[in-house]
Amino acid sequence: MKAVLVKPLELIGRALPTTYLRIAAGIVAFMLLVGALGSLIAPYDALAQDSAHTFAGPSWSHLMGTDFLGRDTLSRLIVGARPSLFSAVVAVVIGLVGGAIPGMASVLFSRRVEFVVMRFVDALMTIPPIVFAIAIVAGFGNGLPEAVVAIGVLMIPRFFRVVRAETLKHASAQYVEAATLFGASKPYVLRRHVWRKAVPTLGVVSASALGYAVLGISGLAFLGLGEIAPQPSWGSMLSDDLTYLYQAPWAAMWPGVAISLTVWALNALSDAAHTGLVREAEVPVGTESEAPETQDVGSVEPALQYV
Amino acid sequence: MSRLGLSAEYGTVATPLDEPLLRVGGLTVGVATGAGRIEAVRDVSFDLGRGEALGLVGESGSGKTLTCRALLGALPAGCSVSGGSIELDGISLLDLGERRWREIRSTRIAAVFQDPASYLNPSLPVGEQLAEVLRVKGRLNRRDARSRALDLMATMHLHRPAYVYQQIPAELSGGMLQRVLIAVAVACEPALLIADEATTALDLTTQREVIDLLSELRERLGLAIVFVSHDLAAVSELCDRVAVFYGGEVVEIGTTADLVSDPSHPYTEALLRVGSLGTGGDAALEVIAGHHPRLGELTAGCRFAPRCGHRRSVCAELVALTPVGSGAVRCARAGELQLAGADLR
Repeated sequence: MKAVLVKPLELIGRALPTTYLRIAAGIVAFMLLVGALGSLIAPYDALAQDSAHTFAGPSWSHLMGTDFLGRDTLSRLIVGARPSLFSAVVAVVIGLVGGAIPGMASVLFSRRVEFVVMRFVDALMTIPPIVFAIAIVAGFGNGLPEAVVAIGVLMIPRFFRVVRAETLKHASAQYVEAATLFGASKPYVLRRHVWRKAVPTLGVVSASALGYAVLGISGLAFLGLGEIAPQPSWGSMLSDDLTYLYQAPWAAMWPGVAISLTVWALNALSDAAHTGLVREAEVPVGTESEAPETQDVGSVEPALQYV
Repeated sequence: MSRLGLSAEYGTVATPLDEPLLRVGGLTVGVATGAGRIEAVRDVSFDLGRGEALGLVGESGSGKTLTCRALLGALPAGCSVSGGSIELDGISLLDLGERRWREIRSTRIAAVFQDPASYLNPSLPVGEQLAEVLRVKGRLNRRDARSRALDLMATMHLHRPAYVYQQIPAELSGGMLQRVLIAVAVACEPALLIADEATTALDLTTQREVIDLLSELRERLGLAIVFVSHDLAAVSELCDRVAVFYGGEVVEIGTTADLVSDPSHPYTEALLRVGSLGTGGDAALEVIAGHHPRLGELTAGCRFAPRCGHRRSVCAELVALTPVGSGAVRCARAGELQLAGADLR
């Protein structure tokens, strides 16, 4: 049994070399686990009100106290983890699929189509998230799916641009050109040689996008967009607690800590992955590994600079 | 001609065997520059028979690689063919669309380049990349492609093919990588192989081995080879005929033996004198005075004239490639000059 366990643990240890990263990964894993289990591990019903014990401070029966309706804060945090975290994951998936695939395909577009697509993506980037979310909710009704779609759609430009840049970078590698010269079609080359090169960068962007999405979903919930009361979510809990700041000044801390810990942990992981990628890029691979250029082409190049 | 056992699948030769495989006539390639379009390759013509090897020699920037790129339908951005014709098996390559090009690549025309490491995907096993061509272009299934790839690697004299198969490019030497790349190029039994500086980056022994491999393949597969190099010695080992490039033009073309022993163009003579074919010994390294013209400096008349010791006023006029002996030369004074050759070693 031990032998089986050692290897995965070793791998995790190597992937997360510092305590700092291990803590971050632990927090993310813990939050996801809590989100997955939800009401199964909540000590109380998250919706059960107890008007006799409103604004209770932390005690053995209510570890994090109760809110303005006497509901158990810990249970609400646990149950609220799912709409706060998993909806962020879904939003990132929407951005990833909606951005990465067109982003990679965009290098195949004709110049005119490319122009239109790029300007569309630019336009998408200029939309303020809150205004866009309010517009979506106004158009399709209030609810968690609408909020998730709003956040997800706004993630598209970021993924689009990153994947497009990666694709362009690796599509100019000589082995990609060679594949074309050996008779492979462009879509084939993209699928076979270029796609996998973009995956590590996509991982980094996804992790940081996840942080933004958690913040975005909670931000919308704070404004009352998304998960509808009385269902708990971290953003709406924070908003409620702020209303009663005079009665229970400590209460707003709980959802605040949950949100900031999660976002910090995700950003730490994304930063570390990015650093790892940069370090790897210093070891020459692909395009960077070019040995002396063919001399003939070299002499044409000065002329090509003006093109 | 199924020496690798594949030919049946690739159709038959379209033209009679005595017709040349490749016909390049008056090929002109223009490069767009800040100062307008410049003809970086001008009026290049040559024929190449089946199984024949033609060497293209010349200094850097003399248009060898651009000519190859034009043959492959893969000119760099900003360059385009502005005149002339290229025919492979009677098909005009200049009129081919993207789709037709894709059909021809690997199966009719293939190429190897100077730096094999950067022409293979660094993160995939080399054998897989070879099998991939056989799967996609040769329409073999996974298992057949693998065994054919192993056969091909053995044909390329790669030892322990099964072991090399699963190695990534970083684990192989330059010579081995070039062998893998040649295997990829000939996997689908093309009629024409373009070897653009394929031996330049290799050390001398490996260079020799790769040249031997190419002449072996030429014999076994009836492969025609366009062999680009700035090393006349390497060219003379492999090629029946040589075309000497200068300033984007062919200044002399002929059989290797004639061209080396009895050059007709002053540039060829100078190249022989300074090159590795000369008698050498302890004589100081000779150089040709001046430098190869850059793109903007191309003159209207003979492009070698500014560096030529035999320059006269006639050299300011445009000269055509005129037949001389077994070949052709582009020199206004070709008939009157007495030029010294070198010994083929």
